[in-house]
Amino acid sequence: MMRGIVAFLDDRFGSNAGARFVLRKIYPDHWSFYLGEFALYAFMLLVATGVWLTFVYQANPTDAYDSVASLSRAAPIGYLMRQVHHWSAVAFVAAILIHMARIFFTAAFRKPRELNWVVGVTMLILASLTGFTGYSLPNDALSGVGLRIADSVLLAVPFIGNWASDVFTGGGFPGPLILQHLYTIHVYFLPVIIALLLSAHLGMLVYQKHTQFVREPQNVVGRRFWPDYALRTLAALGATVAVILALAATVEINPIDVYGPYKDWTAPNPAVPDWYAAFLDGGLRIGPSFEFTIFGHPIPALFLPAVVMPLVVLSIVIAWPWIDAAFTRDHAKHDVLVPPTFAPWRVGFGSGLIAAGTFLTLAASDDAQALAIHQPVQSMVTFYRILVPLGSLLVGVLAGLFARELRRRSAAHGTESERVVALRRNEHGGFDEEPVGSAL
Amino acid sequence: MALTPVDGHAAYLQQCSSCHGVDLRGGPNAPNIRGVGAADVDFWVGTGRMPAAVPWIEVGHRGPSLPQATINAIVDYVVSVQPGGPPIPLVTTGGDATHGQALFRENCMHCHGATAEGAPIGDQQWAPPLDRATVTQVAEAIRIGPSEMPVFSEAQLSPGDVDDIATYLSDMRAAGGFHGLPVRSSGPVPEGLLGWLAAGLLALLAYAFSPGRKETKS
Repeated sequence: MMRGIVAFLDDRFGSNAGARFVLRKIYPDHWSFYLGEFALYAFMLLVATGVWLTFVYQANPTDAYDSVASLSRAAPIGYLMRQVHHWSAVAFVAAILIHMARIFFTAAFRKPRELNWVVGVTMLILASLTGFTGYSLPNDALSGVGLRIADSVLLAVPFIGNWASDVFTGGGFPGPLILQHLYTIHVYFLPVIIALLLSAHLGMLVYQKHTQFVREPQNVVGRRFWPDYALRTLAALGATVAVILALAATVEINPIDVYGPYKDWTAPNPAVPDWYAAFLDGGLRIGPSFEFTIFGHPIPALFLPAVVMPLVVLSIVIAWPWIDAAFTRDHAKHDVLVPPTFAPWRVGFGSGLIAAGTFLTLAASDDAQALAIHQPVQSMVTFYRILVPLGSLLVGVLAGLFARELRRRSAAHGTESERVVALRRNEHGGFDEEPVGSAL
Repeated sequence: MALTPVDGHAAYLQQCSSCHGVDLRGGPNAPNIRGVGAADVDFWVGTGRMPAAVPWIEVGHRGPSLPQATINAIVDYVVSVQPGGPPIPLVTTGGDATHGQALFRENCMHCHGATAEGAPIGDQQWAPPLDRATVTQVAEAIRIGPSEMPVFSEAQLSPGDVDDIATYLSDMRAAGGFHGLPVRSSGPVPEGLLGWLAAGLLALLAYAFSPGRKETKS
């Protein structure tokens, strides 16, 4: 039967050659190569549950809240779908960042894979935007406050802010069109671009072949897709679904029936966005109250922390392969990964950036922390104003020094996994070691 | 011990006068309380915020530190010195909880939080959690506006509205407290942490179940 189908397809499409290529593709055997797959499978869960949610969602200010809130009251499966969708989103962006950290610290982004790094970072940005637009769709009091802030940030952009906000909302916040626009952006626009970029991401991966830790630049060493890797990646899919379903079935996420529908005069307290947008909120909370004018055009204090800061950081991250190459004066092609300790300064920079993002994210809940330790909110703001620059610097320097020390030790002693030696029998019957290079 | 009528004047002199003065006109550490009304005195003393241990440190609801008869006597005495101010509201919990929830969201949630768990409101101030407040104390706070809280007049919230809010709060309390699952109502902060735990767990699973060794060509 199976044989018949395969023969049928091959007769008509010549598909066996392609199938052979796919089934024989070699996947390197290292646990960190699964990290990206978790993001991929979370995205698949998002699409599957998201399609289901479009059946009930009403993208207009009158019905939006009830169409989502009724899911948790009337439709048990719909409620589970929403739970899985939101938990997948929260885990999706986290999985992307974990994957990205592996790529960064092992320098997988180097030539010839710079463009795939750019595609990956773009997907991270789009995933966060998709998350934020989706989080805003239920039109509940919490996300309404977030949208209000987003609209204010838009208004703070010089020259085009007013116009952009009017286009976005349909005129005046919340405006008649904002949910319709969010819906189209969240459901059609962003996911389709992510799907296209994902194809490009994987296409480039197959075409350029995997990087690997093994010093064997001519070949990728690992396991074939069939039967080894196919089962492993199925297990990764199963694990992703299991973890997210377990969360969705036990922990309620975004209880909009607690917050109530958005009205101009309502807001829950404290109010924080989902975690991947929280660093922007943190930036707004601790950003200096600094306003200036450009050509007589007043620039509100929101502009620097909420627009300039993320643009600068993301530009550096996107351009990192070229910055890295300029730093190291290394413009050669690399198919072999380096251990993170190989470049302590890269470890330092990456750790500092992660620390800054973490501190900014924590700053977004400074009011809740102030309440927990019974301190004025303003002292938390001061604390984070000091922590974000100095703490990040400190973390970066310490991580770099730590990496340098690890490199020094492994260079001095070598570790079992790094040392490759040839053993030669000597005339006394013992063995001499002859170094033949490093496995890394 | 037999119930004897408590002397409100004596209780006032003993518990309150050192700060508010024997004439109720207040002092350097305490406001004038002439004519503040029964609801005001009953709220402050009934929630245990008064008598204050340290006058300039505001404490939350810590339960009354005086017997109810003494509280009533002090209330009566303060009102007898100068009448006026809001009376102690009569509250029922037989109102419309759904309407109460809507009113709560529009009038109370901004400060006390979506599930009345309390929240910071800027500077050193925080809106307290309402888990210990009786419905009468909630109604009193609505009418007198203690500390940073605004006064809600009967034009803004009618006695029926206050009953509905009280009904909503007592229903919420009866339905297993204010919190339910700990993460419900706590919002995106614990949600984000759990999301990271999930992604981190997947990474750990990959590490644990993959062969993980680097294959060198033999």
